[in-house]
Amino acid sequence: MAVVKPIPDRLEKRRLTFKGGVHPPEHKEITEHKPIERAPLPPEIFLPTAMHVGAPATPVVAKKDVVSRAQLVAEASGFVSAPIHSPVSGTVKDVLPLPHQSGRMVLSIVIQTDVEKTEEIIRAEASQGVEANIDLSPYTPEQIVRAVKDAGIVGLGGAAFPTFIKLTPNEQKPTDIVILNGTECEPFLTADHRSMLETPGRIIAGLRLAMKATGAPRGAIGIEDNKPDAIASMKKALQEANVTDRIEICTLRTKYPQGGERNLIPAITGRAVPVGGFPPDVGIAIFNVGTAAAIALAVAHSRPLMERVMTLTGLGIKNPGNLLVQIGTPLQFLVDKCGGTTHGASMAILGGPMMGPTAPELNLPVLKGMSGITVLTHSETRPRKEFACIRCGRCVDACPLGLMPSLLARLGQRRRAEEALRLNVLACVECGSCSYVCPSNIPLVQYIRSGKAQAQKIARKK
Amino acid sequence: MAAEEKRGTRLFMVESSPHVGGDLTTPRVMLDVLIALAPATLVALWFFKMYAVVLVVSCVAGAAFAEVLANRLMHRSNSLGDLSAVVTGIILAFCLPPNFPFYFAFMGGAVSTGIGKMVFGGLGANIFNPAMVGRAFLTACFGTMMTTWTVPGTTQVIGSPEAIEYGVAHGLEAITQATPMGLVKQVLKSGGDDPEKLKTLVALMPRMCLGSVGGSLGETSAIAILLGGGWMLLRRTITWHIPVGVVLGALAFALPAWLVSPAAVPNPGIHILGGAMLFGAFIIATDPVTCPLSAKGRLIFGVGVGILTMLIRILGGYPEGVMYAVLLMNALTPFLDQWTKAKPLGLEGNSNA
Ligand code: SF4
Ligand code: SF4
Repeated sequence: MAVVKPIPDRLEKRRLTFKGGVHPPEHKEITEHKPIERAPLPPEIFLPTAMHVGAPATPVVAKKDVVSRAQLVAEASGFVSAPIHSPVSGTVKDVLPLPHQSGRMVLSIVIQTDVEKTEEIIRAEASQGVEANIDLSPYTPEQIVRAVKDAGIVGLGGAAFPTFIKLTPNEQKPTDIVILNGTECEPFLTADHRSMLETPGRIIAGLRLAMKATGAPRGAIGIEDNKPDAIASMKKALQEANVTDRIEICTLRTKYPQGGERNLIPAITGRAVPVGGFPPDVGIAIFNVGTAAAIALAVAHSRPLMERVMTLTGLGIKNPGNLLVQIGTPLQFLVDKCGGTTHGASMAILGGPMMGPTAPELNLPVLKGMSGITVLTHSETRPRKEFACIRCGRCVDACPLGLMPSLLARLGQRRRAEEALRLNVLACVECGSCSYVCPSNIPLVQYIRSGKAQAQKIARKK
Repeated sequence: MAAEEKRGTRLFMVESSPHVGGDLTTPRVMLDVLIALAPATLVALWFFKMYAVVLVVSCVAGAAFAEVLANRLMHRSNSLGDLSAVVTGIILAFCLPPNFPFYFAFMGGAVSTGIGKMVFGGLGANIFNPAMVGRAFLTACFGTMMTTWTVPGTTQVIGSPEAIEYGVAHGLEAITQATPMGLVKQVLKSGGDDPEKLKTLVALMPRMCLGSVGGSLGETSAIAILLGGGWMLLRRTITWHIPVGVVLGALAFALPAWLVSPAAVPNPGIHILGGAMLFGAFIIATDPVTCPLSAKGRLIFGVGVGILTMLIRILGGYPEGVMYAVLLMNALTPFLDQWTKAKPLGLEGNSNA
């Protein structure tokens, strides 16, 4: 392994950004001033067993079983997996394969909501807060990891990787710093922004628990400078907590994809994650701010991951906003609660417009890693005429990972996987910056994605 | 509508991410090049009147004709909409002497896109600058015509007895006997024995800025070209690397020589203002298709064009060298791309972007 550079002493003072990237219109103004509202409970909840990276969970309930909120309904199967808990009290209506955002049919648990019972429990939960200065002494690292594992927490930023794995200390690779990702660089989305404003203490508590679990001596929270109120809110909460932990709030330049961990980590620490490697290889554990809040609740109140903050936004939604929603809520239900779609609505994106996949219908449920729904209108989704590549180099300048998108796309199209592999096609994070800038409107990411799939096959054989 | 409404849920568009894009499109890039060519076009119209119109129209028509024909023959969809054929045609026209026959100009335009671009597979696939391919073709076929210039505003051929007579009558001796680049060649050949000619050249510098000297249609006015170049820099159609590289490359030759014997060689300003140096630096060499991808590669490319142009001017048989310099550097572009390849973030040596 390459020699790891020491992390600079004062992170806050450094000019934090990365090379490449793009500046898509942010459109945060649509929802950034709207407080998080609790969404009403849907009459039915749909819980796919696959809503995390790794093996799908195994259902432990059957049709007609009566369940209560927070009860385990599917258990983790294998090491990289996560259990699923029912966000509602009610009756299991069925366990059957249903449409999933991946496009496949996935075994799902359908639960009929007992609204009254569920609301009662939710009211009781409301009194259980977590403060930034939570006393860590009752918790051992093992207990923290255990609690997070049992709570079924996965990365809420979209990756949905089981969180406990990243929290588990590794003798060979000690963690030097825990970074919380509060950059929220995807256009439109404001869920993390609002969480940092409304529950900063919970986020800091989560960070401190993560530092204790991993044994990291330092912590940092990275926030883009388009959210000065969030920066101020986190700083204030940190100051008021008056804790001795070494935590810094880092301001990053607003640029997409500042929140990609391979760009955020070097911007904050000066260390790059090696191609083909992962953050732990350079002593870093990184979590989304929402994940940190979930860690805090799981450890302090044994609360499983059942709800999350989501942004429903875009010109295609009548009353956009930030909602606290139960996992498994049908998207159509949420969109209807936001006044429905506008006349010109033409595309529904799960997440933000740079990386989010599209959904042909809103018959899908909220998954743990779903940070929002962006509905675009006809004027924004006009088909773009594709021209030949004029070798202008804009995609090369925009790639935040220093790849050659035009070349990789061509190799992907021509199925020349060997060459693409040599040119590090697997390092591409599919951030979309290259397609965004291309004046010829070439769907570079689409071609590169197919190149990655081909290259992965070869790499596996080797 | 019926297909969109299905059991209460709407069907939405499906596509691969990202779902938003920048405003810049390839036709817009080409349009910016056309806008950048506007000042030089106006200067050409002012000095050469109908000759300018005829040549520009012929070259563009030739370029468009060959492109349409090639697309038909290869059963490909029409590509005129990307405007690149228009850009190529105008650039070629700007490289021609004003009195060049229009039918040959049409031919040159056709060769530019036909052989310079379409046989490679169309826009983006060509190795050589299409306009320069057309120009090389015309130089090879009609060498004398390509180097016969007229006095701006007249039909008299520079260097001819009538032109000289006209010059004497109107006090324009300086520009009726030879073009600036012709003078440069003579000065260089004389090895410093011709202080008179050198003085004439220095006196011509203001005219070279405006464009009222003999030369090709669109290359003569430094001011017009700088205006256009400025527009492209502003619009980020081009980056500074190639123009700066070309000028640096040219200075690397012209400056030391002039410092050693200021009385014997043209000063660097003449080299840069004269001929197609600036036109080449801002408009010809910056063709994105045929120059390197990376900033570093482009800087090297520019320096190469500057140096080669000077080598050809000083040592070669032609008074002007930009065309061959660009074509030669075009050939090196794949190597420059390979050499200046971006290094992925996280590979050894690239830790902090
Ligand atoms: S941005 Fe598009 S046109 Fe420009 S080099 Fe990349 S792929 Fe080609
Ligand atoms: S090549 Fe991959 S990492 Fe680079 S800009 Fe394109 S999508 Fe992003």
